[in-house]
Amino acid sequence: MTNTNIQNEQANFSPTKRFFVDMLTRDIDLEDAILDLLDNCLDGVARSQNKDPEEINYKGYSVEINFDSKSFSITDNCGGIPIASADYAFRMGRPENAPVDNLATVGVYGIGMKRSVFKIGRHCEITTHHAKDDGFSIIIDDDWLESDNDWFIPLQKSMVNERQNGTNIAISKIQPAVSAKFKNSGFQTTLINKIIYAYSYIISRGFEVQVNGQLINPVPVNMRYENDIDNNGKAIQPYIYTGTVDGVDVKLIVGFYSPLPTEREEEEEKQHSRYDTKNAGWTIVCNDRIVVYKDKSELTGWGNEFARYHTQFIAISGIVYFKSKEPEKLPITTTKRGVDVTSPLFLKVRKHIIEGTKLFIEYTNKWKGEELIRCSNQRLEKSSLASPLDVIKHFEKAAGTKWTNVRNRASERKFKPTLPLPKNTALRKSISFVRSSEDVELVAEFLNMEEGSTFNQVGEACFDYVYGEAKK
Amino acid sequence: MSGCSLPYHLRTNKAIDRKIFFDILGHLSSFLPNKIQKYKYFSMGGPMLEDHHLLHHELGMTKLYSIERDEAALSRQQYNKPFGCISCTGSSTREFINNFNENDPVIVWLDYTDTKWSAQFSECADLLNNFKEFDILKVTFNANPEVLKKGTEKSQLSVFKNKANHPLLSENLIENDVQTMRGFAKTILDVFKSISEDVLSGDGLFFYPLIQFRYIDNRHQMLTVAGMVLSEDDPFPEKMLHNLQLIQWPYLYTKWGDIQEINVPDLTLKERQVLNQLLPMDPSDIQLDELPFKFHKNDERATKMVENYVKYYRYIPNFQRVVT
Repeated sequence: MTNTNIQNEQANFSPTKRFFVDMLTRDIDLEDAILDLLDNCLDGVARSQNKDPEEINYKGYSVEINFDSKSFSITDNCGGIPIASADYAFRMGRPENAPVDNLATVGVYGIGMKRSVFKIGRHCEITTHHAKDDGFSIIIDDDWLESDNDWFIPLQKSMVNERQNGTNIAISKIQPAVSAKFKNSGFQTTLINKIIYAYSYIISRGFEVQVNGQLINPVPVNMRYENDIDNNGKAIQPYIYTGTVDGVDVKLIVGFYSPLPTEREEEEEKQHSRYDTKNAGWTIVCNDRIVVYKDKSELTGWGNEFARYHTQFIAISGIVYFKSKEPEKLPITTTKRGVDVTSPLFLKVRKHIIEGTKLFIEYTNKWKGEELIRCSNQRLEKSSLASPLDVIKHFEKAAGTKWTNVRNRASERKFKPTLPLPKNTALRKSISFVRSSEDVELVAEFLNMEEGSTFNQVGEACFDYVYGEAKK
Repeated sequence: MSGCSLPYHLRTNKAIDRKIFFDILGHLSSFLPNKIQKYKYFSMGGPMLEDHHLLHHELGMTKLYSIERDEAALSRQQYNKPFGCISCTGSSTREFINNFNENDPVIVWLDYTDTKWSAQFSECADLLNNFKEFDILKVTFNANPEVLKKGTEKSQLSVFKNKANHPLLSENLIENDVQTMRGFAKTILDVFKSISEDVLSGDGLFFYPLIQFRYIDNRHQMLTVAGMVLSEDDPFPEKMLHNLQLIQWPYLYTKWGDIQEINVPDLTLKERQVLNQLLPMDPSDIQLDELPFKFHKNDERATKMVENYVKYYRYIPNFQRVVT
């Protein structure tokens, strides 16, 4: 067999631009691609402040995202790209010799910005200005995209620095599928919602994001806890784990963020998903970025280590914070919108996710039935409310909180609450039966019940009525 | 909510909204690819089947369908139906939409009165998902911010978010967006717009609004939006605007969010006659002092009332007490 293409008996493994432009872009959603560009802006803030994550001040930093069917732009004032880093910042993949930031960023793979740009369009101009350098710009266009030999793009130094300490990415020749989304206000809403889920924490610390002129407001996340132990030595308090594992700080908390759902609410949920469902489940945060939002899947144990998620568990919410100055140690995927499930660190933390969630699932199993739910909710409604990080701080400081070291390791410890138990649960029995809804309505009317009472409530009322008669 | 039990023909603002809608259907007929008489009309007709009656009477439509879930109302409809060409079917809106499968051009009016927005948004989405070019949809939502104030919940926004849960409900809403009459109507319209674009844009279609009104009906503010599904490159809008400008038809509101308020003053026949002598006129030419009575102690309010009358007088129904 002869093949003129094979020279020197070598196989060609060199990359093609098509691979980056048409293939890699399939692995990411359009929304996530835009979030990836936002991540770059935030990494810019971390670099320009060079501080520990807790100390970063996001005030005064802002990003504007604008798009229509023909163009897309993202403009920030988050520091800009230093000219010296042009050597690796634009490489497809992070080169070995790239300097290590030692900062709490999330950019590790060197793929985000480029993939996002190609996802959106075929012509891109990046203009940037770093405080200590001259500004410059580069243009990615068809000529460059079509040649597999030339991988370099000349920098054009700007004489006038239009952007002070910031970067502007302007994309045109929008991909047809993307263009259709950009003119659809449904897409804009979905994008804004994703930005709120992913960046609420940073936005609440002063970072400003605008999408097509609309300023994004943060949605606060809170957790409930009782300050004091009751007479039986019990309290509705969260499960907390904190530790440092292989250079990554981990903080984990799970508990109730709201009262338990009443039976009527559970009934309603069967017809339409409740808005609150969005607040239930596990959130995973890596260096201030939410990478998993309110997960109710096997990732965090649902339907596997414990029951599948349903409305009974709507009040349970947990959050894990991973923080590290070595972002490659964080358990995130290249799209930064998911967890690397094979990461030993995540698998280790997942054990605590499961242990914690089980406590609260068990609690909702024990506090069932209208009367018990009411009792439990009376306590929950009176309890304190604070952001998850503040609750962790509270229990770290509060006197009399019993922390234990995980397997006697000094670097990891947890707080396991002793949740209250209902009295006499063993003596309670549940009754269920089926009757035609017309008959139930007739009985409900006879018993003078409120409109909208659930079938369960009618059943209970029947029992109470007969019980009252029986006692006479 | 008991709006549905109120005799339909006694609701002035709603009657105006309906008449304007039917008026536009008549105008559209001359330049739609299908004459309006070819369309099938579906709505929740109520015991009196007022819509269906009017559409047959005024536009000669014959494919008229009413959807009614209440067994008693259905039997009254069947008893009352004024023309044989009206079919009354016993089904819920959800069932109607699930079974919706039409080759003919259609006009559907989803006339909601209660506040189950979440279900209503998904019904709108599912129905639009089955619509074709030139199909016409009118949706009336309860847009009364007062209904969010009930119960123990302090935040009206969270009451709304709970009742209107939908993936396209913006998380970026703030309390102000659900507080005022105007703002709340706009908030609901925005969700409907997002839903329509989300459902239609994938097939190169879009929802082209024709009228957008808000008005008080049975003490609740209602929002109504009616429009047509069009293909993105269809020149129909220009053609229609041109034609309607020729006949100076002033009720077309095709820009999303351009919600007009219908709030006609309650006037006696004698009072109406005084104003009618001045009509038609430009609302800005109104001289309040020249009228023989005062509309309102506040001049600004009075002007607004007269303006609304001048704008809609042709559509105001005339109710008279009939002693039998």
